Amino acid sequence: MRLILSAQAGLSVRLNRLCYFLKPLFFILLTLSSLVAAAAHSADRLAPELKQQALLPEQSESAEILYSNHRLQWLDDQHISQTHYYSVRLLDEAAVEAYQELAFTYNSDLEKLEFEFAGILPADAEPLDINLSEQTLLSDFVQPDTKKIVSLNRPEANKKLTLFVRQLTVGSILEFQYRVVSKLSHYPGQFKTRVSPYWLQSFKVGSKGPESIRLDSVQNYEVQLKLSKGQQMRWQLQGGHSQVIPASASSPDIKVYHWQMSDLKSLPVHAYLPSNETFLTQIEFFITEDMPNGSSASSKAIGVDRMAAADPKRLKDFIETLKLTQLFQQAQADKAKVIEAIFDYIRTQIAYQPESLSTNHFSARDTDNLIGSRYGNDKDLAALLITILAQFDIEAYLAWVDLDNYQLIQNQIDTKSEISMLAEFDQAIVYLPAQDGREARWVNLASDFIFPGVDNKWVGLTVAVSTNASLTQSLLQAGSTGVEQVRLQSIQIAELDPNLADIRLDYLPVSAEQRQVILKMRAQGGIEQKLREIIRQDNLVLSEQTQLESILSSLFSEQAEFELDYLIKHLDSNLKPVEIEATYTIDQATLSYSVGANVAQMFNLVSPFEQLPPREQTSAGFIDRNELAIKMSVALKGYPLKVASLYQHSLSQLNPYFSLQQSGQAVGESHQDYLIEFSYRQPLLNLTGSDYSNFLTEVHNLAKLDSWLVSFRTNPKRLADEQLKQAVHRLGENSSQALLEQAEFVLSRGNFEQALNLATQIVQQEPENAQAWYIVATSAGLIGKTQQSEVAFEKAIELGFELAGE
Amino acid sequence: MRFYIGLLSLVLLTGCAQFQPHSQHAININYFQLGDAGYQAWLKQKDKLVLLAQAKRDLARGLEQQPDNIKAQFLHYRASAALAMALGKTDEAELLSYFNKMNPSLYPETVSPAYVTYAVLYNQAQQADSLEKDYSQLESALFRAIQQNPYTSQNWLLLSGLYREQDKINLALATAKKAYQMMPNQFENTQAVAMSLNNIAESDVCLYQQSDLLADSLNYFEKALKQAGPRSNNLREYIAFQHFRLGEIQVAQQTAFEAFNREPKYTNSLLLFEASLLTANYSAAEQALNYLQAEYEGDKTRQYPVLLALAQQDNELLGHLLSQFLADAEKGSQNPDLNLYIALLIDYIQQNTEDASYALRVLKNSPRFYDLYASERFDSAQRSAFISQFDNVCDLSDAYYLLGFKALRVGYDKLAFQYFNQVVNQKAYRQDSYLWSRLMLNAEPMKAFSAYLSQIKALAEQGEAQAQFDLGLELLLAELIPQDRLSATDWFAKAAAQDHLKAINLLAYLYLSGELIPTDINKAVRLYARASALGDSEANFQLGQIYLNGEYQRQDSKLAFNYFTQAAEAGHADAYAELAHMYLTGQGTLVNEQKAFAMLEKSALAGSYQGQLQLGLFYQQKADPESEMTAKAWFSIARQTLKKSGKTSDKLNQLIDNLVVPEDRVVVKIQALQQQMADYKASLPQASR
Repeated sequence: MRLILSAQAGLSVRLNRLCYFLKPLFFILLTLSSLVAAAAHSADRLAPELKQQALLPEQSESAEILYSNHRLQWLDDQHISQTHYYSVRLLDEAAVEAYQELAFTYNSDLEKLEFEFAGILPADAEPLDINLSEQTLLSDFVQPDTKKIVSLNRPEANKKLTLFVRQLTVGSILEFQYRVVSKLSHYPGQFKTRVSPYWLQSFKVGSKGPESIRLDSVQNYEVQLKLSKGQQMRWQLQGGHSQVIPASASSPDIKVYHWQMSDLKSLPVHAYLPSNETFLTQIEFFITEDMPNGSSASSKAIGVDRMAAADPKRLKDFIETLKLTQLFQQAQADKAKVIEAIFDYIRTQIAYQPESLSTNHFSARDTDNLIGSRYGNDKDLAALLITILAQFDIEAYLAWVDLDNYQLIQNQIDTKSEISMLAEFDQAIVYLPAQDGREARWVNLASDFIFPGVDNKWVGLTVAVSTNASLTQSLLQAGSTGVEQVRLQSIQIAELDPNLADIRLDYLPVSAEQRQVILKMRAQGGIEQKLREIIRQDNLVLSEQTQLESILSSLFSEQAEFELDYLIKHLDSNLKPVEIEATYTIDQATLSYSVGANVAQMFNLVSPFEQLPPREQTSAGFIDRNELAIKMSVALKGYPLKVASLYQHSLSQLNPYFSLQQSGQAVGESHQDYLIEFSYRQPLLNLTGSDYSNFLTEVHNLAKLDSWLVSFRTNPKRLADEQLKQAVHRLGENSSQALLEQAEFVLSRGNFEQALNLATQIVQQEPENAQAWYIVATSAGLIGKTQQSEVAFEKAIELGFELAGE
Repeated sequence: MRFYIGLLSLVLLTGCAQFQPHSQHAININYFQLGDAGYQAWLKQKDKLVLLAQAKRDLARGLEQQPDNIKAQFLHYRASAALAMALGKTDEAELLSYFNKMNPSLYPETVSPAYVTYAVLYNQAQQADSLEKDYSQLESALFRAIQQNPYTSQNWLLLSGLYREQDKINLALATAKKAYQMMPNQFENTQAVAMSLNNIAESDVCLYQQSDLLADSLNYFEKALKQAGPRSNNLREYIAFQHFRLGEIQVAQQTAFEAFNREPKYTNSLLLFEASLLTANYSAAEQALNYLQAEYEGDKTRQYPVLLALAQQDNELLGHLLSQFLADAEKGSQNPDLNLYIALLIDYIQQNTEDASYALRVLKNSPRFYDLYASERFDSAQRSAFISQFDNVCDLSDAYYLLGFKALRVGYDKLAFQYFNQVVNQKAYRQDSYLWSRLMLNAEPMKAFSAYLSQIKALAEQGEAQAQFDLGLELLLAELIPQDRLSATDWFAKAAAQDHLKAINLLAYLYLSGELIPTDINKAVRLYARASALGDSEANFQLGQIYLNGEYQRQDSKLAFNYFTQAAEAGHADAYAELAHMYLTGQGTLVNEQKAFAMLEKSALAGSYQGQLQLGLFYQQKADPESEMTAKAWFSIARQTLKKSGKTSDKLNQLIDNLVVPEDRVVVKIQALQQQMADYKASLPQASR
């Protein structure tokens, strides 16, 4: 695992730190004698009293860490304890403001964090104790999804302890000491941590300003590592960290190592830390299995044998119950469905409990324990899935994904020790190779996403896949059986659900004043995951307009006024994609017979472009491994007697980066409706800088595309036919008035002969019908029967036909 | 992908030398926009057919790209049609195939393929001047056009135009109405209906007999003008025309003026000139005249200054203008082709005899007019016989006009005045005789009548009771102007409302007698009562009569007695006679012979013929010489009062002859009695004399 520091990273880095404190020798002797007691309730200071510290000369104008002292201890019960002490002298208002709130994040399931003491020594005054119970606040810690990968590799932190120190003044010194004890026993290959002299203080400029980080200078820094007899730990120094000072043995059974540095300069950082592991001058501690120490015995006690020794009855019962589920029964012989059924079943039955990823704790719990406790971490769940799949003859392998995508190459595996190499990997997932006609698949039970649960953003990440089908011989024994059992692969988009979005819009005329738009949105793969994540976040926060609502509203321009009503489907499902159905009711006072749709609506809803980096940042190029397909169908439902008439639209776009198809056609019996299809496809993009620039230009061109505008215009033929039909109906099928209407109608259509016949028929029945005579006269005249026409005109006028009548 | 392939094949099909093989980006070229721009460019430079041809080609490609886009469909079809028309040759089948692929909602605003054929044919026929023989071909093209696209009125409109050109006025109207029914908001359609209605009206012997059609036509023209907006000045002319023909000359003048101001033309200037003359707006008339003279020379134009001079009564100028006519006529030929109106005027002014008459020369071919004008006779029988030959207002106008000049010729100015008024009364507003008559009425010989009439008219309209009464009389007696009893009654009523006693009594009489207007006793009684209240003795007398004889009202002797008494007190002679009779017979009062005698005496003295006769009879019955002498004297006075000959007079003569009394004493007695009568009259109150 590679440590990447950023604003969020800083907070948890502190938690990961195993600190070692090297006291003056006389002090060490004192503390060592009471070590066992101190391990439980350590109240002993890792640094001198504040009054003594106040004598240190000022070396900074803003703030300085006076002491940064740390103690790392592998306790006899195999838990690891880390104690950290920091004291900070605050020398200006900015520093006072920045240090008023200190945050400590940790995972309450995996570790325990307790403050030992905290205090303030104001300038020229007596020291103040900080009442820890009053001035700390424990809260749930939620990290924004988007920052998870780029940040700290601690997706599992779930708690945040905040210490408020409002009493700070310029010239005062703040000190605090806290201890983190792991809840798990640590065996070989299970542990890794880093310690740095610096304290990462994150703060906000103003109440709503951006988050910033300070790394102030450090005057005195010490790390102390205590190991009992038989315990062995390795370390690696980075960024100019000092070498170990010759170890001193306080007793035959205890060895103490210590490191010491002084006068470390403050580091210039702003909002983000550079992703440079040497930057913070760190020391990396880890425990490996190949160390010849007493832990090797305990290593045998877990892993393979414990898995094998699991009580088969619980697993058997578990599988039997699985077989009774509806999903499983529906699946029958369809292995793909069986996999889904198992996925769903494990999701419902076993809760995912995140675990510190940095502990190198690669072994899964035994199934008995797991099923019994009903919760497990990523490894547990992956192992369980593989175990159950094996029962149904489905080949599956344990796989480890490197979330940071540290560019590992096979070569490195050989050069690094296996364990330290594997330490680069973060999360256990399952690999299903192509089999029985099914394509290869990645499955991740440790996520909120639907089957297969793998975040589509993981496409391209490196995965270490166990090459041995037998779980019992997998990574658990990697150290002893060699690296050839691990193969590096990268996740391909084809091995995940494709990124699809399918949007359907129905524009329905409700009345002359109102139109309704019904939106149905379905998605798959990354787009579905994004929607799901947005909905999940919306549920965590109460706000006037949720993110989803603002996305749904973006279907129309800001000027549009409508009422929105929506429904989310399948949010609870482990298998079915979420679907969104929304109804917009729009008053259409002015645009009564015109409606439109455009590409922007499609992109507003699923916006694949919102996170594109700016042009100038990608001189090195741009890779988007996620192929993308978005479809939008718009059905504009028309009005009776009107015909859908397209009067504006834009053309399809085709360029090396994507294709946008646009097409539309009038549908329905008399072409009264209009159907528009938009389809956007983007293949995998691996662009050079200039290509990326062209790509951005093409993307911007999308915004300039015309809308599709359809006007529902009068269909003259239908209108005429309908009017005739209604007139005939109103007047009575066989009445002479109806005949007259028909005669007028055929006359208008240019069928003069027929008009003459009809009108003649009428005047034979009703010789006084002036209007009929007039039609006789007109139609006869039009076909050249001049004589007949003249006579009939006279007759019509004689009978009172109004020449000027309308 | 479909588009891409479509485009490639399109390129192959329509490719030309300059057309480079397309890269795949060519799909992003919007040919419709190119074509649209090209078409717009051609519209600005219509002589550059290359632009149009290129636009058509681009639009064809655009249509391939956007087959459903109605703008593309429309414009492509339009460009194709325009190109066909510009080149003068058309492939109707090709156009029809485009047409059939169009969105049907475009049809109402699109021309039919056969229309293009029609347009091409029409242009060719027009150039070859062979329209007439090509009518049937043109018609059948339009029939096809109607069948292809029955949703546009244009084909019907054109058909209507064709029929109008062929004088098939009924078909022209029927087809115009078809167009109008389809698209009643297109001014061309409305205008076509208006024109057709007008044509039918004009087909009458005299169009003023079709004023309903003219009014209908006007309605449509006005509607068309509203639809067309300010651009159609022609419509304004038509409207002015119809207003004129309908006698709304003031409106016609304004409308024509508006049209003239926008764009002077022959028609609107002529209309403006005539209407301005009739509405005495001489500056406008001069404006129009200046334009006419500048733009249109000719005989007809030459008479306009005469009309203006006549209207303005500039006799000097008139004489000058007429002498020019004469000079030209004499110079020109033996048979000067003078206008009848000018000829009549010259004849009248020069008092030409039959031999020298210019009018007779002009009238040589109109025997009925010639005979009248040449005839020695001019009596009422001849005049009625002449008029009875004519049966429509146009001819009648002309006939009355000739009668007017004939009357002038023989010196019957008042009669002439009446005839010119008759012309006006025919309401053939745009007949030449109408205009001339209106002007003649203000000319020298008839000026006084006109002045009198216009004076009393003006005063009457201002509310002068006497003038109202006089105007009523003129309208009733019809010596100058045609009789108009209803108007007369109206004027009398207006005067009566102002307590004009003569008017009240006359009107009451008219209502009572029922000779000229329908009888209305109630109105008559109310009018008399009103006069009675004003102390009018005649009215009282009439009321007495009405209530006495009970013919019109319930008989009421007492009321009659009261009215007679009131009349008598104001010196009404006949009232005394009636009272005497009532005293004698006991009607409405007690019998009182003494009073009866006194009344009789007063009646006689007041000059009542009845009274004098009765008094005479009374004295005769006494049978003494003195009485017989007095009787004879009263009979003689009665005979003078009676004046006229007749049965009563004969009877009186008999009575006088039967009385043998010395004549000289009778004469003395008569003189004495006449003195008494004079004294009596002098004793009466001033007002009732």
